[in-house]
Amino acid sequence: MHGLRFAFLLGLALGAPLAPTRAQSINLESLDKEMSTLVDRLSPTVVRVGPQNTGVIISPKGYVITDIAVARTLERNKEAYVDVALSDGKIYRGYVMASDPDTETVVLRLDVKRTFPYVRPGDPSDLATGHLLLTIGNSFGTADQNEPSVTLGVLSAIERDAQGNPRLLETSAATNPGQEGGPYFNMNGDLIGLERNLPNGEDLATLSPIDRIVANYALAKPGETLFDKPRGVTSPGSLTTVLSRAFAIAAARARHGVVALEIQRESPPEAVDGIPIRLKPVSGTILDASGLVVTALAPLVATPKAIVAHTYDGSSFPAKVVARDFKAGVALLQLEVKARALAPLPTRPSAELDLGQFCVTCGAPSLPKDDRDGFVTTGLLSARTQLDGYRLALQTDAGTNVKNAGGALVDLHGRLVGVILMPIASYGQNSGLGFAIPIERIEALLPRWKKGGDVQAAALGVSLENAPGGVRVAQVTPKMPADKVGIQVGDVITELDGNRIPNQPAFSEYILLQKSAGDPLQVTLLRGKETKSFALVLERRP
Amino acid sequence: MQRAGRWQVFLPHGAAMIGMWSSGRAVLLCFALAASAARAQSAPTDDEAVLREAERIERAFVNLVAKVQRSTVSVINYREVEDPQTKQKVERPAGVGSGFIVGRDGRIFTNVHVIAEHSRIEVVLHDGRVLPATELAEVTSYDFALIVVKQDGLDAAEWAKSSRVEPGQFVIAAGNPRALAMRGRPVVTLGIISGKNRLAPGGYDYGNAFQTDAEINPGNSGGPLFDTSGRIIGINGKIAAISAAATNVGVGYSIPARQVQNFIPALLLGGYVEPGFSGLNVKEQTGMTGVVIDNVAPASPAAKAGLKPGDRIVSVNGARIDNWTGWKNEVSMLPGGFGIALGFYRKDKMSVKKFELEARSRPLERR
Repeated sequence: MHGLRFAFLLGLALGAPLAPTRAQSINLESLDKEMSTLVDRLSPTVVRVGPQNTGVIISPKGYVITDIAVARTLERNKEAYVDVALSDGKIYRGYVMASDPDTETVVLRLDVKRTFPYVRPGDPSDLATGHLLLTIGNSFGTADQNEPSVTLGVLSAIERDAQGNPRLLETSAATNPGQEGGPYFNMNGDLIGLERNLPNGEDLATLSPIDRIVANYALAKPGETLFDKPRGVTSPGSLTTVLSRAFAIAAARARHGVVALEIQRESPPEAVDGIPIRLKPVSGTILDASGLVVTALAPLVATPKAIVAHTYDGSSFPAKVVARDFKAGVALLQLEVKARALAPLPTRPSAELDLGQFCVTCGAPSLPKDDRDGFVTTGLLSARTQLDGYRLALQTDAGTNVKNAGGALVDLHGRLVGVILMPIASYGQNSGLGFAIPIERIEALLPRWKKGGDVQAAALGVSLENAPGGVRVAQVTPKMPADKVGIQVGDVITELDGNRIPNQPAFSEYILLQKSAGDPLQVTLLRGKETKSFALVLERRP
Repeated sequence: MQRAGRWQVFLPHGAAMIGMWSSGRAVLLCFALAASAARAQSAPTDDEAVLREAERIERAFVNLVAKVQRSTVSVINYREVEDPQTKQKVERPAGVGSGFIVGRDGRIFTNVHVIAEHSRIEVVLHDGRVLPATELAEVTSYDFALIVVKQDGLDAAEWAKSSRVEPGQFVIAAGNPRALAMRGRPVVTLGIISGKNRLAPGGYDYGNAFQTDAEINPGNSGGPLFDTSGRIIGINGKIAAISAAATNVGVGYSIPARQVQNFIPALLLGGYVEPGFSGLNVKEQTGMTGVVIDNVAPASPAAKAGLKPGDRIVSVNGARIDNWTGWKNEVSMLPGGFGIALGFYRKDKMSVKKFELEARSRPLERR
């Protein structure tokens, strides 16, 4: 009897069946637990070196690796050792053992006999853009307060040397002054690299990869084992590892759908002795097999001399601007490809995405052309917004900047949901307020773009106030379309192209969103009690 | 290497003006346990399996976002300014911020600096409803304020226990950064707890604050920081920045929920609420742990308890005090009426004195 009632009550609470397509969710508490356990395990290996550097212990014997600046400061000041503070508050003297200008690192030996907690180098074969990275360090001098800062990001880019080995890594994990020389860990808790440059403008923090560091020290100190051996993935089924792998899968798929656009220009600052200086490439997203590519408008506002598009597989194609949409903030390019030479990403209507779903951005590599791993940041769908009051946009907290603008915004399966817009200058780059034009909007605008030319915001040349049944004309700008056809102050506009216009927002939305300069417009209005209709052609907003 | 100076920026300033459940209900718990045990043993082998597993995590975040948005609001601060042309006093939106609902009857928390010098406050709910709000009380020193809207049946957020917050755990910040919350729908950003026990003094003192790398921008001020169960762990309000441009660099500070909760009884009485008054002024002494009493206000609770200049305080309510930061952190949690037990050394003798902090407040100025 009791059992029955129990089942009935539970049924009320849980009986609503979930939609079959929706994945069953996990308990996020387990994810939190994994992360905080990882932080607890790694924190004792992180040290503060001197007043303002971060380092990490790489051996139970007490070897610490940090920024080469530490060695240079010692040399300059003619000092023998630097104070190294452990997380338990103990301070030891650190003496320089070896330094490596190539990776800008130095290894110190702590002058005490004890066993230290330490980290192993990460497995070099397990390194891919999109992987989650954790960094621990004395950001903004937080170690004054006894606890370092922990930040999470992804491996955003890998720059490789001629042999194809990683030379420099870039990460979206927040890195700030005080973290110079600090360690970055993967979700296995192994060392991936050491801080090399702090973020600057569009560039995220860069790090020297651990396998390069290990190889260099093996050459410099033959016979001496500074680092432990890498190990395999210890908990492949952990939620953090799964998430890390999923982002890398999405990124690996997405990069096939983006191109690096090399824009050659004629104007003097960008050319020396007639040789065009290749500026950093910008990103573009492949729309179809015939070579249509969407990119951000800003780099194309000044007409380029030539554009070359580089694909992930290493092919290069000349490209031409087909259309520039000043309203949408994007440009359409045509790549000169042989029939159906490109493979666009599968698309997914952005409307299907719920807020909070993961987003992966993929741009062209920021680094040289021979590195084609792509530039990756991750985040979630933060909001749906309207830029400038009318441009519908997807908003994400994944870092966006001048490098990945024009690149692809994809879901976990690498399906294209939008194209990344140029960040809003006043917000700063990588501010966590990134925007993308939804794929649906691109598809809707494509027929217009294919006609070629510029798409500009339209204006009628009136200022308005709300009135019963429509919007009243308060001012008419001379020589603009309304003035030319004889629309007068006091007229109450009721319809545009036969669509009811109840208020000012409806008017603005119709003109700005639905119309462009050069489009015809039918205006229906009331003058006194008389209904009048005017046909006009919209002009560019002054 | 050149070190950039550290800036602390309050947010905002005027600048921001702008399953399988249906099949086995009764065995649900067992099922959940079995699933997690299975996960620990078998890792997904191919890409599709990894993505399926990751989508389960994603779905949990989607559910979380849907939940936390309902209690998050936008706050608009209107001020009276003189119209340069007509010389008439006119009301203009002077800034936007965020807040969150804590009572079904319309009580909302935000930052003091979000509503400072207001002539009128408006609140925009997640569903776009715009409601007038009035201020009830604020703890000016610590930058949190209680405002109220006349509306029943609101979705109130639950408080979490801040003491259980750990670095590395995931958090969601919700709010109205750069006025981007369209029709009140809050913008959400994901990050982790970067640190705790942060002291971010100056202007407003953030004691025992959480640090997060969830993206916080101007307009996020006063907004909630949620844990992954969708409970409030802090109020976002300050960031560290490399320049004064208030560009997010992944270092945001959040007032701890426990501090705010401690002050609720005082706030409900209304007015400007001051931190619990002890009468102590302390300083750090080089080479010594703890803080040394510089002076004691006459007839203050500390004076009555017998504390004297020169006494070296080493603990507050059992928590060890290493330095001024530790002192500020601990006392910032304590409103008037709370007891405080100070462990201190006078010469070489250690003793403990207990006394009650004095409650101080004054009525709000009526506008």
